[in-house]
Amino acid sequence: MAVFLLPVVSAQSLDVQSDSSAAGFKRVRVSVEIDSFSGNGSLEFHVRETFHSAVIIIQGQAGEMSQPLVGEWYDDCWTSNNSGLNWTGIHRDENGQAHAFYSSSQTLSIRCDLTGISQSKEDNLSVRLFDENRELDRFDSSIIALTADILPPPPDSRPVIFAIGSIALTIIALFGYLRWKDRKSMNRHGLAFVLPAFLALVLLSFYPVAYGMVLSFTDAHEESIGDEEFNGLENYLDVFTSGGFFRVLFFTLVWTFTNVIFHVGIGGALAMLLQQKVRGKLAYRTLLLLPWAIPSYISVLVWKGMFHPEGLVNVLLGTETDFFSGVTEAQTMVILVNIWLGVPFMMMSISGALQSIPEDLHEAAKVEGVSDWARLRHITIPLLKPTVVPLALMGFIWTFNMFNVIFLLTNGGPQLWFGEPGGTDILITYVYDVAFVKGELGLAAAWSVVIFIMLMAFSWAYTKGSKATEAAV
Amino acid sequence: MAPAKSSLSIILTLLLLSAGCLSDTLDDGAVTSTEEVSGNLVIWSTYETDSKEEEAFLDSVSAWQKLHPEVELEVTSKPFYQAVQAYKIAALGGEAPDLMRFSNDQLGSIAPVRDRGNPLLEDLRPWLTPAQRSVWDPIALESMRYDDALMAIPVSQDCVSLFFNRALFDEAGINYPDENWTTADFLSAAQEMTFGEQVGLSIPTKDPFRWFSLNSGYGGSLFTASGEANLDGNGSADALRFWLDLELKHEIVPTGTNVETMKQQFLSGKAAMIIDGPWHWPTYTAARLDVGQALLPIVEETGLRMSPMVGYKGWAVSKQSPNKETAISMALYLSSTEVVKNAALETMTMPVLINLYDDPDIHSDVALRGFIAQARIGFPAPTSKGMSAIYDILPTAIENSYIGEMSTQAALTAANQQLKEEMQ
Amino acid sequence: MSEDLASSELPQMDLARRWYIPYEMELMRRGAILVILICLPMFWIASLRGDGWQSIAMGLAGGLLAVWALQQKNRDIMLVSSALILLSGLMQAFFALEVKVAAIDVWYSTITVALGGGGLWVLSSPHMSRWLSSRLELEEAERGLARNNKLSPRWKAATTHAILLHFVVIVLVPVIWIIDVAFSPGQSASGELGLSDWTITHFDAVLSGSDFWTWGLNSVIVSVGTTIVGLMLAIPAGYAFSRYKFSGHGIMMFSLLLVQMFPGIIILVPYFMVMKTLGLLNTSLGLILAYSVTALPFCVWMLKGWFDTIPRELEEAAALDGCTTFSTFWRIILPLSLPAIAVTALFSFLAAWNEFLLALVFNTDSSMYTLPVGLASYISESSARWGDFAAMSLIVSLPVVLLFIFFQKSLIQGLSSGSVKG
Repeated sequence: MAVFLLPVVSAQSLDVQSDSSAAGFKRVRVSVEIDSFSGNGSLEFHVRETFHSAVIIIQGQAGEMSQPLVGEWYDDCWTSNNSGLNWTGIHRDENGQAHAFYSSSQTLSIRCDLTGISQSKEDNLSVRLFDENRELDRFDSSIIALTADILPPPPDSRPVIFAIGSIALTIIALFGYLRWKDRKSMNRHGLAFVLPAFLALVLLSFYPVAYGMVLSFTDAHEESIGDEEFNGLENYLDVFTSGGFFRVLFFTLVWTFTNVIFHVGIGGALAMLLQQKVRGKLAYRTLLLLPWAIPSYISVLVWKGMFHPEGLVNVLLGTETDFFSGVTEAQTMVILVNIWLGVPFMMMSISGALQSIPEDLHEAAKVEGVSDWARLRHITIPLLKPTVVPLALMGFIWTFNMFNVIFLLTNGGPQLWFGEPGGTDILITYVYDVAFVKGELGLAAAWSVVIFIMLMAFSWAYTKGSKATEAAV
Repeated sequence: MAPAKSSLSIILTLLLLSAGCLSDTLDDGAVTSTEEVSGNLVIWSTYETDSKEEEAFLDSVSAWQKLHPEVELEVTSKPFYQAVQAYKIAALGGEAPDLMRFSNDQLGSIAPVRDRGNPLLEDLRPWLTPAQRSVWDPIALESMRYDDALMAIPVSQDCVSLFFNRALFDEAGINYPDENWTTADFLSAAQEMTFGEQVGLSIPTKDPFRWFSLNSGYGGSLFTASGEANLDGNGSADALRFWLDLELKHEIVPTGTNVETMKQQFLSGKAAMIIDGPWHWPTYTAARLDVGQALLPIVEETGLRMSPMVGYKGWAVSKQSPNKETAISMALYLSSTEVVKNAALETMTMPVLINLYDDPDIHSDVALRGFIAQARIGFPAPTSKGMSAIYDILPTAIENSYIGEMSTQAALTAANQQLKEEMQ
Repeated sequence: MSEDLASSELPQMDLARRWYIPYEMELMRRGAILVILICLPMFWIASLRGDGWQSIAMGLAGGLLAVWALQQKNRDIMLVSSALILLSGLMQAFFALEVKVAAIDVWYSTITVALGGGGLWVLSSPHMSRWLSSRLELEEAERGLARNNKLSPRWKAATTHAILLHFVVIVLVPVIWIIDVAFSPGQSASGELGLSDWTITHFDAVLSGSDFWTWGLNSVIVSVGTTIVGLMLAIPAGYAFSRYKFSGHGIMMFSLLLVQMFPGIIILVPYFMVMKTLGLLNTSLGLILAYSVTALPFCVWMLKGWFDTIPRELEEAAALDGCTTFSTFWRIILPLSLPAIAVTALFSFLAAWNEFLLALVFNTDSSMYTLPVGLASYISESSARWGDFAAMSLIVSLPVVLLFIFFQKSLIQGLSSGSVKG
């Protein structure tokens, strides 16, 4: 950089003050007082030997240039023409470049908040004044930003510890009490066997579920976590009065019942077929197990591709339907795919249960000439009941909350209603939308509790009903 | 100033100037931070496993590591579609990574979250000097902002443009699309090239993302200048009508086309034109298609050019990170000229650095040049809560119009109403 | 066709007809029902096509008619119905050839032509005609019975095979697709189904991929761990619920189900906090416990149901012989329960092996990722590497299939020693 030694007409002096705490985090407020400046020029800030920012100094009027609101990029600047008694915001052009205007040879003060200043060590600051041609003056110092970074507090694990601890103690106490209650009978030994399983289950799931339930009575929202307030039953009211509630409930029930009936029916039929003396049982069983073995992620997506108007299904059926365009077609398709997915598991479970029926029973029946159908009705099915009844219930609960299949296949579409569940939404996929897409955590929790209560009521009724029939048998 | 002082100042000036000449590095805002880098850094990336982008990224990371051997790096990759969910849960549980890459609409989903009053992402405005900020395209910077705060350091951009199969155009004897094309040319070419198995134009009809470019061509916009919902604004209904008619009336686009099948049609040489983005370009060139890229055409009725929505990606720092200096140093490195230019040339990732827009190496790649040109005509994806709601609401409007249940105007009005409600 | 018969022969014929029914009748009855059943989906397909229902209607009519005719044992109508079915098959074939030959048409035509033609052929046999007109002789009837006994199991096996094959085809269609994508070059999911270019590049890419073996090892550890821990928790619990009716036993069994009812996706953040507080994030143990708890209800209920079917007398007998509870359990009950244990073990393994969400959320460090999470990372917003994805899916499914084959022995094991039960 060439330096010209000119006779100094108007000597410049720069007076620079810095304030390390006034501006805020990572910022230092630097005030520069420029004596007897005339003409146009610029004031440059160099930090850490690198150009930081500049203010263009213009003798004249501001004209049309705006004085934007402070706070845009935290790099606010001000000018003053009475040595800092009054500061006015600097002007910026459309590129955000700061301009300081002054009217005549006067002490011009410029104050800027410099961003990006180190907190842990001192940075070199070089303030340089230029006129149109050359550097007039320079001031070097060092600055450091003193306002500290405030890290957000880590999540509070005390409620979790408290919850887990108290649950563990409660369960152990409960078991102790039950054991004392049964002290006179042999039955109390059973409690010890059950304790580990029960303890593990409750410890891991109680707190999250309880948390969810409590959340459902608050106005919890993503944007105000930690600020929840109880709002009573408002969320529940929203759930029951939301548009499409009955529609999505109805489809969920249709979905669940159809699936479970076909799962158990087809699975059971296949299991029984494979009980017989058929060659290649192993091969059949293994092949029929594949839908369960293959990760559902890919098999569902493959089905999705196959149902395309030009996909394999249409080719095999000689049709050209877009299976996911209409609501009923889409509903049928998701149910069919889920049946495909769920049958192997039922088949396998029922196969296992079939083993418990002694062969001799069947043999004896055959010898006495009992037909196949009668054998099925009077021997196999009653003996399968103890297994199939709870199995069907579990299948019901799983299918009711089966999220993956619908999410991957249609994501609840076809979406024909604004702000409502889509054509193939079941309760749980809609809950996902509410919770994660809209961020309304309290409402989503309320929906979850509603699902929970529905399932609980159904299971209770089912268990009572099946116990009644069991007694009859 | 008094004369005595003035002579002193001359001497001082001389001294200072000479000292300055020797040590000053007058560069143009080189983006390195000289803060203390130390400790350990956890980075989450969302690149596809074993992809070229991931390779380039990991190379850059190890280069940085060599420069800063005292830092312990831990790089984890998260599946893209679950990235936001995984981040939110980890952050709320106090286990957020220091640095993570997000697209700007993902930012729009994370930025509003407040955990006991604190946001999850660090506002980067105080960390950057104006000189550092000036290297990036201001639109890119703006897209990384949410409610004034700067949530991430921009590193790349992408948007759709028009891809065409040169061989099919040659066969049909039609001139290649150029920047003077209007939608009338576009439509007639598509119609001419649709016969038998061949498809003149393939678009995922029900996907709003590509429709946005047509919307802007008709003068519509998703939000007004002040940020209010504007789905049923000027021209949008016409844009939607034109879009749907490509399949329903002109029967150019096959029924039920989605992004995957559009890609497949183009790959198998059945589609003459598609609207797609640079992320698929390597797939098409690898399949040895003679694929050309052109700007999206001008809408005949309005004279405006179709302007696609440009998505941006950037590196964000977690608010709870105890090692932000290091994280930002890494982020600045990953968005620096050398790394970004390499990514552009290797993986077709569009840069957002102003100096690279006219870089000769980048210019020499015709496709890159074309993509950048298209992006500069695009409009930035709004990083707002409303934007993610749009992806939820618009498909309903499109579906209703598609099956003829509602006219496009009615459907968009209803969608706009819904959007207004959700934005409250 | 009843004709005047010599009165002395009548009682014999009726007798023969009463206790001997040629197996063909049974076959025809089943065939008719089959025709009715397959006409229903064909109607749906015809409605999708908007055409071609005439032939289906004919087939349906034929089937219904046949059922009625078989009741009545009316030969004429049976002939007519068989002809109808046959014609329906032929019509469908012609229809298809005209428009487009689809696999379903081939299937339908084959079945109907076979059944219709078979029906006609059977009805035209002298044996059947005689039987239908009650002119069968006793010896012939006896021979017929013997033939019935010989044919019946063979036809049964054939039917079983036929049904099973149909299901296998339905099951396999997507699987074949996945195999095709895995072995074809390129990374697209759609495309023609053809094995013209075979390549193992995808498998190569996956297996030599950076983290595949890490993921695999994690998956194995977690899944085997889940199986072991799950069984260790569930077997005693199931046994206890079965044998001991302590206070609160019903409620406890019911409450095992309760946990499954709450949608899990909402409670991920508190669940994360629980894991973090227990120090189980980024550990295999954390996932093992989480998965065991998920699998627990099914395992307990299944085992309990099984143990219920084992009679108490067994244990009482063993006790009399001086065995402790534990050794009874270990030496007698457990071996008998292998089928149920096999099912629950497989279930627990799979619950862990294919689980994605918890593995993603609880592992903030990718060195602890399991295979499903690794799989998901092949999909990004810009593109999906379907070829590699399919190859990896196949690899991921393989251990499960092998495990299943291994467990087959336990599953199929019946109770050979009849003295054990009943």
